Amino acid sequence: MIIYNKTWLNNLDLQNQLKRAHRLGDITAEELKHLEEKYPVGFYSPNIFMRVGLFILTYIITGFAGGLLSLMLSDINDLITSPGYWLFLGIISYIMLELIVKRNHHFRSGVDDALMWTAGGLILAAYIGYLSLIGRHNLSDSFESQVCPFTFILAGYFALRFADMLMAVISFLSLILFLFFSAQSYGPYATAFLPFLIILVSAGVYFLCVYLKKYKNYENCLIAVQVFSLLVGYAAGNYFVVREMGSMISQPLKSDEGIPLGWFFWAWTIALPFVYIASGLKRKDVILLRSGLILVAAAAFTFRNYYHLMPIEGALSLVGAGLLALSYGVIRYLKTPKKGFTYEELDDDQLLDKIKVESLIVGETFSGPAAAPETPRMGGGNFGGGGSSADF
Amino acid sequence: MNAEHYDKLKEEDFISATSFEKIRLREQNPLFSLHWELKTLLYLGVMLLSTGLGILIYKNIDTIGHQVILAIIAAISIGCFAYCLKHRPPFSRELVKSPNSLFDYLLLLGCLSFLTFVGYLQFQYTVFGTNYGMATFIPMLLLFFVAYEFDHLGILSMGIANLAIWMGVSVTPAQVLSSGNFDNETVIYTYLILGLVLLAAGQLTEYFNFKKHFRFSYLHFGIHISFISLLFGYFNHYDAPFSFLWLVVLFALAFYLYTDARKHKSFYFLLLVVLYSYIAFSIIMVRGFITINDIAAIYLCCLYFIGSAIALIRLLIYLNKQIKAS
Repeated sequence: MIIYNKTWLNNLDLQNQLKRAHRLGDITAEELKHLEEKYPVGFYSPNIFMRVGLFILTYIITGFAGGLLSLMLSDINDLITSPGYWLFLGIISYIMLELIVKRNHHFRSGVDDALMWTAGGLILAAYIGYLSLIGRHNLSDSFESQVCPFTFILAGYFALRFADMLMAVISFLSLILFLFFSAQSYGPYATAFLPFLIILVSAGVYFLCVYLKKYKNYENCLIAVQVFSLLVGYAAGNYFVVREMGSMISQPLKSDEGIPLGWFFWAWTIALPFVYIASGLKRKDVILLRSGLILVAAAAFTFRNYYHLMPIEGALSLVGAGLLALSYGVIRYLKTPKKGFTYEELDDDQLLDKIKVESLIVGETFSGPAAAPETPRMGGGNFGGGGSSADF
Repeated sequence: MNAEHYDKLKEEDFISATSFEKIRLREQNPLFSLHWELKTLLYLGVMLLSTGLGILIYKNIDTIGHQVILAIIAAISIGCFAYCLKHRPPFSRELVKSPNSLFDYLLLLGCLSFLTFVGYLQFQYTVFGTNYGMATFIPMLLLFFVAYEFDHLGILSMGIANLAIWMGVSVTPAQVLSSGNFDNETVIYTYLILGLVLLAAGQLTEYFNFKKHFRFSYLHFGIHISFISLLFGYFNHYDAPFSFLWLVVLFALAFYLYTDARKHKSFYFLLLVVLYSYIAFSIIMVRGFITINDIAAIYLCCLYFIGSAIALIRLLIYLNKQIKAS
């Protein structure tokens, strides 16, 4: 099913692990070089800047090529607005994609990404166009519950064939959306069970991904789907989401009205992130741990939305100070590695270090407060760019 | 990696016995690093605390008295700097590795609260009078000083942003485009000067061999700002007969930076220079197509973009290989 050369994929996996072992100082540079020659990888997969550049340029090419073709065919009646024409363009992109991957061995190079998204988008557009053509006579099923299965299969196909993680995620989300939209058409009882159904499906998908871990070629896809199944599983039982979705689907609730089984959803909202974190620490699983950390914030926002214990600025300061103290404590505690945990950076990613992402993030986010001295000028009505002419 | 894999490699004699032993040892005591998690928590902590304090002060100005507030902010700032001074590694012209991330983020918090402090002083007591240049100049000096003294790249980026504020513009790339205030000629010249100053600063760090690793930040901001302002300068003078001069300057700058990036084997800067030059070149071409004023021009335009993008892809792949090989 997978389009790539399987030996190369295995070699790539091996090389990555050997490179890591080299970074950690376990094997020497010579050994690494020998092994890389012994287990060669023939893919063309350049660095991230190159990938972005190639992605943009490929889009320019496909966009203008499609535009040129449509321009030449625009005289023919209704041709370029018909779904069949879009399907035709989509299939051309797909053939290009297969060729570039098979002949030129592109592997996550940007070119294949761009062609994949173009092909997928055009085929989906053709399907939607087709639906709206026949939909004039047939309004029995909702539009979404017809589109979602299609994207589920289409994205699933791309994910299986090209091991692309975003496609895997889209496929999973289409499945959830399909459940969401089709349950609506089965009346109020189905809607009431919807949160539990989605939780069950997400949990099932999560454990399936963990079980399928041995398929190394799809490692990226499996990780991405795990993350999203954890997040969706949480969201499905989150008090705020359940309440708002419920009142959107059936009748609107009054502002102080609760929901049935409210205690269950509150417990789910507050406790689940900590369950994630705890089991992440226990099983030393980064995915669970990081999802849990993100969801703690979601739990805090949900809680604050219903109960105002203190004004926002007090909460921010307290939480900020608390976080600082907590991380300070943990860093002190882990000064020497304990119980298999360490604060040391084991595997510093070369690339991230090279472009100094951290410093750029700090510069971006903190230039707000840094502009604080500017405040008096804002009152004067000439801020930033406009101010330069008046003041300097 | 599973153990059998390494067993096989050892049997085939690709891995020496000592390396194998090291790997086996690591397999037995796997360590789980919490580095990034803790670092993110520190970052969030600093961000939330400084935001929260900012709002707190803003809201309670009438009730708790200015001196108290000033004292609190000053205390936080002094506390952070005191910690950093105590734990600092000795100064060096080269890269100094910070003792830990806590140090980094406390330094950041110290700087942020100092900025709030100065801003507050100015707002409440107008210590600098109407001399707003001074009010932004002092924080900028402090930021640059701290960045060099403690070797902190994040604070250097903040310093660059403050330099831009001092020069009358605000600088982070997101704001450059979103504020979109490019119709003003003075703004364009200010941006251009700022970009060139940053580029020069980047080159000087290397020339004097003083904190060479800061070069990246200077060039990153410098390249984006100079190229964007040159492009906008061209559009601003679109109808003037000498407008092409802007693009001439752009290509000259691009050529200089191109040779420079080749010399330093920096693919990131090479990519930026090539893409900005491509944009400038396409602008000329499109202008040419518009003057043809015929339906054929649209076809030509499409063909130009298809052909040039393919050529560019080939060029980038070639350059990437060259840099890797050298």
